[in-house]
Amino acid sequence: MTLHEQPLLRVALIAAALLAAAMVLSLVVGAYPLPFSKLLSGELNDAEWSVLTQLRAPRVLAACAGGAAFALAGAALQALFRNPLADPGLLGVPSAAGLGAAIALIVMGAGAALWLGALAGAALALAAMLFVVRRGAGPMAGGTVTLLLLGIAINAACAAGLALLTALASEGQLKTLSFWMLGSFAALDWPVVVAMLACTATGAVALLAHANALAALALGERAARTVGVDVQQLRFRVAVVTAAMVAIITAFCGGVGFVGLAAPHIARLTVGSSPRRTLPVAALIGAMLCVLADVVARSIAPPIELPVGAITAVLGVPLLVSLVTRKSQQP
Amino acid sequence: MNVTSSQLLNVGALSVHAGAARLLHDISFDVAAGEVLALLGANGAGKSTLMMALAGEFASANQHITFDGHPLTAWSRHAIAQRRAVNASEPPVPFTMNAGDYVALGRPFVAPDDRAIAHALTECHAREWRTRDYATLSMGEQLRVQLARSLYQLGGDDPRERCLWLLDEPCAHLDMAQRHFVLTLIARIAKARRWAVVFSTHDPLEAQLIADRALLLRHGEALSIAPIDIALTEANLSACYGRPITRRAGFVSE
Repeated sequence: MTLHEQPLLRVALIAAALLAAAMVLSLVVGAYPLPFSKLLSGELNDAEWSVLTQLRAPRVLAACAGGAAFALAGAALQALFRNPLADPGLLGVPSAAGLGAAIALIVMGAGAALWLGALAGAALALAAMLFVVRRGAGPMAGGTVTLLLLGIAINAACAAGLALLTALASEGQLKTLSFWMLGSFAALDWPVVVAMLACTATGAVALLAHANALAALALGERAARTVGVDVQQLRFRVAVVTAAMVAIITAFCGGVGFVGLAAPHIARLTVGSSPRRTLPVAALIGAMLCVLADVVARSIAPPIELPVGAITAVLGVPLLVSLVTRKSQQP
Repeated sequence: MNVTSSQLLNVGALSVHAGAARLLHDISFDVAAGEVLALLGANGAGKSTLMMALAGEFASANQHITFDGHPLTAWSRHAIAQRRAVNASEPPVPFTMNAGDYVALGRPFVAPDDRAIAHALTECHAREWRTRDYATLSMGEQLRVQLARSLYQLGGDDPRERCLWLLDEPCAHLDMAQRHFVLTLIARIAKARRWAVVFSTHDPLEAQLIADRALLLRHGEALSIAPIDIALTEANLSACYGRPITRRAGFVSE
């Protein structure tokens, strides 16, 4: 099979243009439609202006930050674990955030407490991970496997904890919790959105700085060491950056699934597998998927909002399946 | 430290333990620039462990291994990567990647040098696979691309002199013609660029074809370290493999 990779710049420009189009669409569509012509001319009345700046713009940017963060984390973890099935949930951070949120919800009630609980849960998972990576993994083997097993253990423990808590929760609490866990970009204030954007941007810069080392991991951990990569340090840094990024994003907008798995795959099919190319393109695709999913989530049955996580899967699965099967049919 | 200028690699009283198990015990030898050393031994004798130690995989062993006058502990990760390449059995590449991009990973921290990549692939007779998906190549073809990666790592079309090339069973999956090609490539590069080469093999005939000296390992200890004709005696090989071995004319083509 001969590979035909598209030039990075062209793919990135196309993805950026599609993202921009999705963002404009997201600004105008909704329970309170804003005509595109009015948006262009800027002739909006007070009500329309407040819809635009207080409701639409924050959630569009939050969707961008969230989608990009999950995609970046997925792309980095797939390279780190040398496994195309890795996704941001692998290290157990989103489920730990979910358990933290559930405890906060039942003990203190909804709102900021839920965010704090989610952050605390994710931070605990992160701390456990750091402890194990620092103490446990020797240089020989098992470092990555240890990390993976810890993630599985955290996921299992959090699932058990959630199962116990749901028995204690009231109907209303259950509904809030399940909605949050499937993800939503609604009702986020500007400070939160700015924090999410800053977090994603920081994570993107940190991961791109390690793109070359991540690329060399394709050779295998031992061969990567012989070409000059400090594999243990790389593992530590990538795990910390992705976990912290996913923790903060998950705390505010819940576990938006599938973007972290699908976006890197779609990126690889267009620009090849080097993280130098996959990371930026996956971020753009992830942001676009989330913005579109958010549009769909609030326009199928207004004013009811559907969970974004369910929509990303519905949008992403056929896209991914069609791309993967089309590629494998080539001679 | 007592290092003559031509000695590129010095190993002094090297021992490696894994828990209570003794993998290597008191191994000492030198390899000069331009010299090929063959590593022979039965399964489990410690060939791969010694290779890994020379590749710097065991932190406790690094002070016993001196490369170009400095112990491995004194070399930075990046400095040693420009002077030492390793080819050992490697896991499959998890993502789709063409052979040219694979070779480029020999120097992951600099922009790929297309001319040097092409040169390295050509030297290994692998130029035609440059845009092929690495995963679709056969084991033998992949091996030649891996060798090209090492040549690119150590210079490509502008090769450095006095490097160290470690090869763990480079001919394990090759047919006779390929084996001959790879062995002569290794020997030619060692002489032309004054590289020290250490390669392990299960076949004494391979050692005889290109090695200047041989190190015979048994149960993690050095049985013999000597010029190839002295090392590969019937007595030594019999002791090495634990069963009587007689010498006859081999099947390796010249």
